[in-house]
Amino acid sequence: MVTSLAQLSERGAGRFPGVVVALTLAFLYGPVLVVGYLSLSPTAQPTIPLDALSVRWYGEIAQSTRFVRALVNSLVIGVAAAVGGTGLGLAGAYTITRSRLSATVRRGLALVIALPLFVPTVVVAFGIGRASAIAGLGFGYLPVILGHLFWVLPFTTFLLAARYAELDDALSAAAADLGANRQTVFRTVTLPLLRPALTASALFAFALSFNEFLITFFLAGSAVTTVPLEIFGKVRIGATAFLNAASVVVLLISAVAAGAASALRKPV
Amino acid sequence: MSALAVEGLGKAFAGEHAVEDVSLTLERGEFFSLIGPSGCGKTTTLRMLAGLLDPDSGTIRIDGTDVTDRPARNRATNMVFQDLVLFPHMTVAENVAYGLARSGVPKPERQTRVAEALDLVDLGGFGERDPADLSGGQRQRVALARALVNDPEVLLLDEPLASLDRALRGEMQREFRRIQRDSETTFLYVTHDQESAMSMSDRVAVMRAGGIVDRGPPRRLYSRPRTRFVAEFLGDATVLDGEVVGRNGETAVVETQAGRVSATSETANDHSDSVAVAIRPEAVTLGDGDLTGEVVDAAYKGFYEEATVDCGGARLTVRRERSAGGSTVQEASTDGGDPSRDRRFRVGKSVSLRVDRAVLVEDGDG
Amino acid sequence: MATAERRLDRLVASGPALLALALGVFPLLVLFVESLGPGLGPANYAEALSPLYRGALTYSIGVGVAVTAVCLLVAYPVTYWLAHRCPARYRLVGLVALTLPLWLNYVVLNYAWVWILARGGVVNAVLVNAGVLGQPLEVLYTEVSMALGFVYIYLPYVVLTMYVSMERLDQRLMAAARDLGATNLRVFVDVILPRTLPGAAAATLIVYARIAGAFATPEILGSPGNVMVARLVVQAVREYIDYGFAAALSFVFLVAVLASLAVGALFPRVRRELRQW
Repeated sequence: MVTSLAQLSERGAGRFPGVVVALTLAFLYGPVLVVGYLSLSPTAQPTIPLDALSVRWYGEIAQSTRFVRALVNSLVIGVAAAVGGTGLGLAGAYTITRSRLSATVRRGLALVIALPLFVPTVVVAFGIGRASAIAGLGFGYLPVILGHLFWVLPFTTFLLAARYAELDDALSAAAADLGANRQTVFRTVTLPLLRPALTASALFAFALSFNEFLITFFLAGSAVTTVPLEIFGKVRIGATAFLNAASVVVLLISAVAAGAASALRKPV
Repeated sequence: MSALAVEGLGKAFAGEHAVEDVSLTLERGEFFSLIGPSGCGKTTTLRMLAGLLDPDSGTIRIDGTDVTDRPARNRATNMVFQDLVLFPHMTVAENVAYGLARSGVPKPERQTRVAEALDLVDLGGFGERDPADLSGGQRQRVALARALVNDPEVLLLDEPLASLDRALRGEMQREFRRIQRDSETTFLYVTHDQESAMSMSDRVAVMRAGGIVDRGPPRRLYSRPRTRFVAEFLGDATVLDGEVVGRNGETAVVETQAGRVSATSETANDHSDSVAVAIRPEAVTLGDGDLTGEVVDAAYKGFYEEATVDCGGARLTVRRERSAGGSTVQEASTDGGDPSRDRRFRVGKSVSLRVDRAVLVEDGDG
Repeated sequence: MATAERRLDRLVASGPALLALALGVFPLLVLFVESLGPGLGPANYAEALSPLYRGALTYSIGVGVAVTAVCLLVAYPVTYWLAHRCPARYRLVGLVALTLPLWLNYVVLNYAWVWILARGGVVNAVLVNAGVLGQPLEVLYTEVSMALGFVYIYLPYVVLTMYVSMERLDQRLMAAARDLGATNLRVFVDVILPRTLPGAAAATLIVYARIAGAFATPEILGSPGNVMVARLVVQAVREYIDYGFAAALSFVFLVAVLASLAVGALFPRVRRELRQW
């Protein structure tokens, strides 16, 4: 089929953007696929191409008490950040969009919640580390969990606030007209309608916390280790097949959360 | 005892009076409509009656009990909202059962009453459907059932038909009327659509700028409006200013820009000589009259034709019906030619008019 | 009753407010006090602004600007294709595919590039085996590998933000411009760019500060010689235990970042776009 010049210009920028998309996808997923491939190396130092395929490094991961402990820590902290961050985010979203407090208070809250988005993370992390030391909390689980809650709070709050703002006020009025008090309206109307957004928010908070590195780096101390800390420490020593397998495990866990969240998006 | 008695109701937003000194009484089982142009305060009034908005002044009694300070959930009113606002995460039956559950009706009774309510609105067997899967008319019925199932003393309806097309609106009007009779509930219906209000209601109140300007049975309001505003808002009356030049009992002869018109007077203030006269389009007959004018605009409207006639600077709206055969019912050519040749108003043509009925109305803001 | 409701609202607000004040505002106050110590003087600031560290500051800002620009350059055609050329049923899949890396661990993702760029990595293995190169390229641990790592991490953020803006762009405007004789370039300059500029600004605000303040990516992929501010802060805290200097450096950097962001936020159109966030 001959395409005339006029038709080409009608179609817009020709093939150029489509080519860029294909290259971008290759750029984004190529390295991940390479690491996945190299995690199947039979030797500790993979050579390209691999001589044979083996899953022994996944077995080594399961055997490594240090890595398993880091993984458990990351999961526990991630779940705490998901649940706590979504709960606090719901309170924040309610305050910003629906509460009867003055507009100044609501805007002020939105601003302090948004702080970690605008302040460089290294400053946030260092500041919380110093504040924690001064407050006598030191290092460990509690400061890490608090730091992660603070880190996920803007994401959960603004995600839920967007959905909260979309909720029709008239639905609450209808429920009130039918005899529901404020708490019942919240339980029977608001909460069920926010449920998809709450799930998405919890999944995203989990992923953010599970992948967080710098704040944990400043707050964990020597007693607590998480997967990103563990991998960062090993990367500096050198790339190995063990590290490749560990990376694949980490990527799979967050990809599951991402997949669940994008599956939620369809019905709405 | 009246189902609803409102006295001196008022509400201001940011210093602007949205509703001022509104008083209303609804008899039990009555279909009452509150109509007016948008922004006249009718929805604000309705929300205060529902308890969704606190009034600044006035009292609201339902069945004799003062409910002014009660929140919406503790009032024997229920509302059908403008956009219906069915709960999207519940089935039809769950929607209808919602109010019963809130007032603690036990589950078996709830089920029976929901089924009855759905039967009443002709939606038997639709209980397990999702509201999103229903047609516009069906959703109307669900909203109605959800409110009616609670046996409200007064059912408040906030322009629920606004979003429907014309044919469906007509059908739903008849349904509302039937359901209102069958359920023996007092309906307070708010709308800007005077046509649907007049066709359904026992009584109508017309609101303007936060206050009620006139009220009464639709027939009375239409044929004998008391104010210029009501005359113009209900139907398309032409209102002309004029001077009274003679009186004969209840009839006054008024000299207007268009010529002399005899008008009946309703109100007491027509002792003044400067008055306004409302003339309905259908009260004007073409031909053999003492007014003459020129057709300046003509429009085909289906079963009738409408023309605007300029009579000495005043513009009168005139209609004439067309019979099924296509010829006009009233023949009205002034040039006396073959009637069959003259079926249409022609712009620029001279016509003579006779005003059969006219009413003196109050001028000003009522 | 109204007061009871207000009390409930206050209680609800107190949770996130306490967290944000304790971990957002209080630490900044702590850092500010520490930056003045010991002896409540500007000595730490004088050191942080000395030429030695000023270089790291400008380098960080420069990296932030350059990487952000590259991300935008790639995101423009990508989001244009996705929003206006991609068949509608593949659009969501495409968007998910392009933004999935948002959910993944950036330490791990940067580590993956070690295997691509290393002396014995995939690129060199392929090119040397194919005879294109006689000697393996030494790109790992250079500015090139660091820049690739940055783009890799932050491109999905820019794509997501730009997509929102690109989707809102009315196709009929482009058709109208073409109908009036505009070439592709003119359509881009006259229609696409002005309508999507606020989205580009929002994307910049989201990624720029993080790139300028990044720690892990330069550590994993960068050269030891290219020092960015975050490494200086970490070093001062962990190796020299000089909190006063680290705090002063943090504040100087914070001010530099906020100042460069403020320049962008001064434009009224950008402000309008940000109000939606």
